[in-house]
Amino acid sequence: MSLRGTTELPPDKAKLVEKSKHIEMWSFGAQVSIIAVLGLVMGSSQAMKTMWLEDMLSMIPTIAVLAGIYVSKWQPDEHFNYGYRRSVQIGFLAGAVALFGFGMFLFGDSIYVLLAGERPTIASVDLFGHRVWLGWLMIAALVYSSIPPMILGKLKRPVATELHDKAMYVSATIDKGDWLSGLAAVLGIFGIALGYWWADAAAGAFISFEIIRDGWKALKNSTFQLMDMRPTSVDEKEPDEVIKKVEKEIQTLGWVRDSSIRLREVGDTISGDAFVVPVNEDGLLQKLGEAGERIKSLDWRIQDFNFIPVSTLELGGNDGKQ
Amino acid sequence: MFAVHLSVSTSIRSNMKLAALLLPLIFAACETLPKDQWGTFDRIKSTKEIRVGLIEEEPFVENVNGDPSGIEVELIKRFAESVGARPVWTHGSDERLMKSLEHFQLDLVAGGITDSTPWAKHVGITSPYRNKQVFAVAPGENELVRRLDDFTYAHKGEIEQMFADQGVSK
Repeated sequence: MSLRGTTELPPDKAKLVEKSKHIEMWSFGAQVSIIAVLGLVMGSSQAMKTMWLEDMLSMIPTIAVLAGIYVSKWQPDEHFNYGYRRSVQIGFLAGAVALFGFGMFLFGDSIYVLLAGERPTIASVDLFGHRVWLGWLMIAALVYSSIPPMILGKLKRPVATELHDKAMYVSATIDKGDWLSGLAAVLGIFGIALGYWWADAAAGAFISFEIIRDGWKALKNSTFQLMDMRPTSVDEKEPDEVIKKVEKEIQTLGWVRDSSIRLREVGDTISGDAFVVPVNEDGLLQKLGEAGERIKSLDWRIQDFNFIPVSTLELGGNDGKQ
Repeated sequence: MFAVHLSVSTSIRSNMKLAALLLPLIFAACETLPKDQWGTFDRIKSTKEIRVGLIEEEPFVENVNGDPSGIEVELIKRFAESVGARPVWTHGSDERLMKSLEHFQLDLVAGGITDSTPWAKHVGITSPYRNKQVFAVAPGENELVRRLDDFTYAHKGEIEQMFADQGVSK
């Protein structure tokens, strides 16, 4: 059985996907090592506890991107006619719910610690025959944890934009939140050292606020994608320029009297349909086939586009127009 | 960011200079920080009194005719001496003492407490001075914790000897 909508990338984009895979794999490795290092020195600091969870959860978009690259190679089959891409979106949604929920919990926890006036006590540890206050080790670990996301986030953003990979874009945004909150945690621990008991919990509250923001972004992004929102720019601020391109192209088709399109994003690719009212039925099958190819050649992201001839555009709904 | 106008090599050199300037500062910070959140150690030094709660537990804290003795009692006496203070003992149940400690009515509680004590949620604990043995400290008083940690670390050998004298093996 042959099905439509198989994902074939142009060579330069395929190369970029390889690059994105490498960046996210480095990201994954860095995150695992950061979680291990922070876990070792976590102690009783509220900011550290929050950071540790944030780092755990910020692996979700990284895993989503990597899984997405892996799964996008699977071809549609007998049981899943539209391919497997959406499974990653479901995973991403679940991760977003976790991120958002944990953020809320940690925010509440930090506020509770602030209100209850709980004071963090940090003892010292033996390190290679020296007595070191664990707080200094926490600061070192936090600085270490801030560097990879700072670099990787910067690398991810342009690739995500070029590939129009929203999961990767979210992953880049979360990286930024990661190193920002890492520095906030450093200030929190330094505050403890100076004797300000509230500094730690305040940093914890700030970090959990960042987690809530990250979670909200990811939640919005994945929900919109699952709801087949019209394609938008990678930062979701504007409508995708592909929409205009497709509309213009259809207007150049002389045999089309009236048309209406619907588009949706499937991961980094776009699929959609055009309902067209033909002027007459002469050679319609050939015209439909040619038009489909023309639309697909407009942009590499349009992987699946169907022309559906209809006698009238009385479809119900508002065809994506407000 | 401030090194944009400099060539790469000079910016590295200036960073190294900055590090060379910062290092002594960092070491100085390690000497004086962390500080207490409630100022307990400063108070101990000014009043020359360290308020200690004792939970009876052999061989750490024993109460022979109202005169406390035991390994931890001995350790606290020496620690107090090293900072120019004298211990003021309070006896009681662990719950009463820990509650007082939590509310800063005591500075320290001793008596065979281990690092897995459930009280660690409410009060501070030092790092283990031997195996799992710790002292409980008023919550957030990180300078007092640091002074105690430094003291027990510096007297590791003597502590081991004290346990050996009591017939406790490793």
